[in-house]
Amino acid sequence: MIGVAGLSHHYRGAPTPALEAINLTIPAGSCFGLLGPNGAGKTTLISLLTGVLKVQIGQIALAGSGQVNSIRAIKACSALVPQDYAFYPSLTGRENLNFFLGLAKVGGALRAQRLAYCADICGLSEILDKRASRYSGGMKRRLNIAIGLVGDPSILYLDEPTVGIDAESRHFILQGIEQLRDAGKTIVYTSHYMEEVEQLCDQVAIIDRGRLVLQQPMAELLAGGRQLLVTLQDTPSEAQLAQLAAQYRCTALGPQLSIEPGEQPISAVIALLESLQLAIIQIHMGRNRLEPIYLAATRHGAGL
Amino acid sequence: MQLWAMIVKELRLVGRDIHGLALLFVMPVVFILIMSLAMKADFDRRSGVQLDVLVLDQADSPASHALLQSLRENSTFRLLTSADAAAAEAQVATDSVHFLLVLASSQGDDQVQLMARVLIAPGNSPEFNQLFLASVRAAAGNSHLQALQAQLQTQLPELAESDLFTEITDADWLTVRYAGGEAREAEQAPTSVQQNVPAWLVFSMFFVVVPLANTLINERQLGTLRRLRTIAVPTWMLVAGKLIPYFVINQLQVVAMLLVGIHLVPQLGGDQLTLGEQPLALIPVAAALSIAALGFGLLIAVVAKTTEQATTLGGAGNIILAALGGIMVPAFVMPQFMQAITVVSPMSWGLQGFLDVLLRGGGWAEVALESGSLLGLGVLMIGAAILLLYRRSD
Repeated sequence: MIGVAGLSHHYRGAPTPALEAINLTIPAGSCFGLLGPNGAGKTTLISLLTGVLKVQIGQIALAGSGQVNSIRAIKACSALVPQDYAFYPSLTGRENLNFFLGLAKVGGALRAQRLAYCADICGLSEILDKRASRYSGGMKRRLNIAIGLVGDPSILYLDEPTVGIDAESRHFILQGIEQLRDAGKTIVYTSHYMEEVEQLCDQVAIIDRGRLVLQQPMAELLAGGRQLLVTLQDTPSEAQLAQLAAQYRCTALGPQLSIEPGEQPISAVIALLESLQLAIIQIHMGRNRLEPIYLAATRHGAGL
Repeated sequence: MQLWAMIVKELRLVGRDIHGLALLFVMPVVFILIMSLAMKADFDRRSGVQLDVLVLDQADSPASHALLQSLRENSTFRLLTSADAAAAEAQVATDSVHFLLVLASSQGDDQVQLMARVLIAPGNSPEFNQLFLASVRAAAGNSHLQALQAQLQTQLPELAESDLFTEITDADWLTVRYAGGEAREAEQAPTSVQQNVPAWLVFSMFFVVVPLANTLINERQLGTLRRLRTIAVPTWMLVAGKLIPYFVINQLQVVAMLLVGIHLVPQLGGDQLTLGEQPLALIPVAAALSIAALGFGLLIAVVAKTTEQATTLGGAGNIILAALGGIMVPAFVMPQFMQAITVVSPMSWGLQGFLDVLLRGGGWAEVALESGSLLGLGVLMIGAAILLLYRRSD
């Protein structure tokens, strides 16, 4: 388990802190979704959790290590897979893996085994001897993840590992992450693809403007019964939204509404929309989804 | 194991950077060859090199013997005898020797007269030609004077006891002073190859700044440096893992350029580089120079934000240091005040260190000042770069 208490970070010369009094608990063996808009402080938090940045204020504790804010202990058990292709394009996949295996002090017969394991789980075995610069975008993502696995970390930080790749590679990567999660590794996953986070993560935390605005198990977050996703012809006015919000919990993003009807019949919701002279184009009924929750939490939508 | 992994990685990266390798190894070879050959005649003139004169003494007379003896006393010329006129002319035509001097006798009205014919090699500088012709004239005049003295002594024996035939030496009447001080008198000017091999070697060693900075900036931009920081690798090892391979590359440059001076330049008509009396003293100079070059490169790599900035800063910095340090224009052709300025460039310290060994026959003691200064500067710059690296990581 990773415990974070009162964690703040202020970059030299910046007018506001990048992180402010963050309290988090990341359960061991969980897949933990860390969400937030660009510039929210996710990268700073990951940099602190992986020992790239020194802790200024607050505490990071690793269960079992008995140490607080120990960069050595953090580095010993964790690995970062950054969003960038953080390897050497002019080296082959094998040379890249061998380099990082050397840094992880993995030698002898274990090195060959570990290399084969990392290549296998990321589907790179066939192209290991090609230069990384000649890999496709998906292959580069996989190599990026494979490098993260060379030290056999118990905590793996994945920073948007599926950005900019085709559906096939994305599916392969998500499968690989599920395998790692099932093997007992703790995974901290950041992404802007909400459906991926819903699929993979059992815990979610949302950060906005350096503050933690939500932390909840995914199952609890998506529970809460029915939800109507309504697409209107026009964006509703504030007055119309206020009348709607007087009766139902709802979120609006342009002409799209997410409405929780509770125990009320669907027909009552439709009747109210019609009485407010809102022309309906499409109605979709389903359970709670992460995206409207995320948008409401980060104030990108008109949370009501 | 970690350090070894970093060294192997860095060497692989450099090995696959064709442009970087060309900059480090091909560029200095090209400069050495072009400059050594193009400036050979000018350097020869300044360094007081001996001029080869083929002599065909068809006269074989006391007058011709006296003339040749007089020329022999001038250390600028090395007289080589020849018996075959055609072969001798061919040697001059191909610049194998500088001059051919043919001495013959001609029967005049009342006496035998010495006739001289000079053939000048096409590659000679005008200064060499004027010097030789003036020397031949002086030697002829001298031999004529000696013959006159001998005749006078025979015909007027009473004059033999007079001061008229006392030999006058330079010390009796000639005083020479150097306006730049006595040190200038003792100063040896290098030959073209002695100047150009160490000069362009020093220049190219500083060019490690380009590949060194580019790999470090690429690591920063690609996020690899951030990734390396998440692994338990100490910062000193990250820096050492970068510097050690480039130190090795610098030493390979030293060996390669010395070999070019020893073997390739003479093949193309230049002089052969000799390594001086104590060639092992090149080791501290090469090592300290490399540390200074690496410090400069690391500092540029840390300060520059992009590879373009690093290439511009590093390249322009190197050219300015080279221009100031007597690399591009040898210090001894500069005016006094410019020569004084050369000491601000660490490239000048390196060049003087190499010249101490290659030209002046110096050893470890003679290169201690230059090596120590380069080492101190290098350590200072590496320290500053590491500090900046730490500050950037916060």
